[in-house]
Amino acid sequence: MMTALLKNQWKIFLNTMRSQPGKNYLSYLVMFIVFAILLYWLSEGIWAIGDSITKPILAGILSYGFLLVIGFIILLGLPQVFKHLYSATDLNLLFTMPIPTRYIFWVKYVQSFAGIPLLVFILYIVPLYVYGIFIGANLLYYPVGLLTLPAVIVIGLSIAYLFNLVLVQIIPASKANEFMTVMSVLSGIFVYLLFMFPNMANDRPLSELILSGLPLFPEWLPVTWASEAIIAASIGSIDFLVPFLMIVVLAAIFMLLTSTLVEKGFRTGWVKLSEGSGKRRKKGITKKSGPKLHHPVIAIGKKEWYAVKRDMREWLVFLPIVFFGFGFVFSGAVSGGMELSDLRGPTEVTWPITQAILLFIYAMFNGQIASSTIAREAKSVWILRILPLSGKDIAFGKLWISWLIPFVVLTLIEIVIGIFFGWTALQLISGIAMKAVITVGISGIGMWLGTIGAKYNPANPQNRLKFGTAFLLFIASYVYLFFALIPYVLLLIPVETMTSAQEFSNEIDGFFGTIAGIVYTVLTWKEASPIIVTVAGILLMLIISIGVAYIFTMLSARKIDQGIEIEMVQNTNSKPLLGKKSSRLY
Amino acid sequence: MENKSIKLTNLTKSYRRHVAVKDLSLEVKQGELFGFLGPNGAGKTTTIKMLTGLLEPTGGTAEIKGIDIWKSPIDAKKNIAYVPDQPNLYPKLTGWDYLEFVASVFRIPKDRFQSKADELLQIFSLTDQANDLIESYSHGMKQKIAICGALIHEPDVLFLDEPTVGLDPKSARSLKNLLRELCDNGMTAFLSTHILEIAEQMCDRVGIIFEGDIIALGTMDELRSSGENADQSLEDIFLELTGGEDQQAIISEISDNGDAK
Repeated sequence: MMTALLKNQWKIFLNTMRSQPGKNYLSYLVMFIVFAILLYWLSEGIWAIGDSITKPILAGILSYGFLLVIGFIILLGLPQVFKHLYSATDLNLLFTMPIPTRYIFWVKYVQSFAGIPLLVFILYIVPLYVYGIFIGANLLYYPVGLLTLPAVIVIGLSIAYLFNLVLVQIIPASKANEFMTVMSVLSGIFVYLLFMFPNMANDRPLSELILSGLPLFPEWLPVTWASEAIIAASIGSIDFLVPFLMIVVLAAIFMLLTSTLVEKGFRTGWVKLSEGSGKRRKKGITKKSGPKLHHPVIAIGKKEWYAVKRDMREWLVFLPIVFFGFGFVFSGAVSGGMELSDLRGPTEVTWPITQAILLFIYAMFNGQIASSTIAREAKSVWILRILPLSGKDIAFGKLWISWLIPFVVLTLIEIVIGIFFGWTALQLISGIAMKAVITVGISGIGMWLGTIGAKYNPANPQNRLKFGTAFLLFIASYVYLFFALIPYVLLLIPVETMTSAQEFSNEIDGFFGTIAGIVYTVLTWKEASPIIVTVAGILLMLIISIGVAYIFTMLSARKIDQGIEIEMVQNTNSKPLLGKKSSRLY
Repeated sequence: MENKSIKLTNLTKSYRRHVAVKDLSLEVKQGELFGFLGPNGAGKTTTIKMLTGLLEPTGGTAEIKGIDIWKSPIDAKKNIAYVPDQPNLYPKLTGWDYLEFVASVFRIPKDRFQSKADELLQIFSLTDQANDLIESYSHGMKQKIAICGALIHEPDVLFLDEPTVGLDPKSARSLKNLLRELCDNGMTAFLSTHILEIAEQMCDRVGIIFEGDIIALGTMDELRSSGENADQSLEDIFLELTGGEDQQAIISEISDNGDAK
């Protein structure tokens, strides 16, 4: 039975490869070359620094490397596992056939190795072997490495499976759509804690620990066993056997544990999730307050708001804030008993730093939220096309809501921060007002990029931009911010902080250092003629932000009128990532 | 002069070498319920999509109440509504939210919206589900709310693509009665269907499209009189024109011989 299933998968794979359009082969070739170059550089690096890697240092690198392997497989492999277990299109057929569930499960399990685990395996084994050749390792080193690494990968993959299989039983069917989000958040926190483990267990920074050859992890941790096995094998010592066997046995235990959940977690879970899509949510009795009809521009924004509000996955865009906040509080709590109140400092310092950080976050969110409003239309795109709406109506409707959502969320956070730091009302209000104006521009740019690079993946609704466009958005947001920041600085930062800005720019390099440098220059002008500079600042800020927002929104409107192509990623089993079709808006 | 609600002039759609719709010319009068028939892949949906601004024609023009939908799309769209065969609606809106959205776009006064929405939801038995999210609706319910959305602004011209697919018998009957009543009051309906009884019973005029060409056009009486037998049903006429009779003959042949050697 297993053979038939595996054979079938193999045939599907072959047919998928054969039916690829020619340009896909080219992209595979490019990917292969990039990957080969990366491996070459890695190997070159190892060859260059091989001499300075002593055994204790190697132990640290190996064990942390194994931790990274587990972490990456959990984080990046989780959506793949979810797809294999619950959203593969062939499950509908397979579950109606007389095939034991465990067979289907194990085929899916084997399938999951092709992907992130395989990539991780190559990225780890090649440098490991290069190092082995460099130090002239004992012959044992190679087979032990070759078997230990898959064992670690099996542990990581099994954890990813366990996450899916356990959570599917806990999360109610009515939350089926949000299942992936909950899992991503929990696994993200889990992996974050995993990576933080060496920091938590030791007082010194990770890089220092590795370089000094001090043990990163306690001996009872499996990653330590794996690293011990490889190090012992490199010198041909029989001591490799115990830790090697321990890691292999552990991998077997993990697989066994996963298999115990197959019936409840896999088949019943799949049934539950399939039922979940047909859920009924009563929103209460028919509204009594009467209809709420609005101007079309407001109506478009409102329907976008409903789509965001009612789908937990849409809020995933704000996840970095959660991690940022979590990391901030958590690292504060574990670093030698530091208290939050210790962070309080003079408002002249906390205010501008917070403003810079918030602007950085705005640049990250606004463009992303605005751009995703285009691809969100997906299969419902015909509605806007059929309604008597101009591109301008649609663009402005999407603009105001995609600007307002991050503004409200971040303003609430800013108020809390402001109260905590004890800012004056003027500081708080002026900061919020300036950011309100500046961020419209980012939303405008984001939406325009959304119109030129929209992509919709039903399995991953957060992924709404083509890769190149997403990268462009990232760059464009910060370039815009950089220019929009000039009048911001002109207006808000008092002349008295000139010295601090100068010191800050001298002390810190990179993005923030450059900004501090600009601040200093502008403040010298402001000191010379404050009124002119302030008026010029207001005008310049309005021109830049409103102007950029208007130009890009009009460009978006024109693009909408001309026709937008939303690349629809097909969520099928045979062409998981490359199969696509387009949906056009106008 | 009769008022033309829909006018197609040499409407053509080609995909590279394949011509899906060939030089289609057709007029539909105001208040007419026009049935657009044809086998799978004949070009029905392509034609409707060109008429509703969803698909750009390769050639020819499509006018709604004298307005070219591709030259003045907004003005033309103010007069139309469309119910697709697969109603992909906004999953995260409730049925009521969706109707409010459509009403907002068409700037319908609140009181008129309230009474019209209540009336339509009642007709299609959706009153109790109006505040459920559309993602929870069955295919038939989605179809019904799409029809409600299309009728909420009392369009002059309504396009329906296979509107009865997925509807329960009661809703299908309600739709038929409603369409007839609305057309009697001046609305024009252009509907594509596979269910020939619907076309036969309801439509004022019928057009049969085959491989992108209109091969028959007229009232039921006109179609019958043009055929071999005046007692022919629409199904007979349809099969005769679209080659279904040959397939019927093959099926009979196979049955007669007992096997399909």
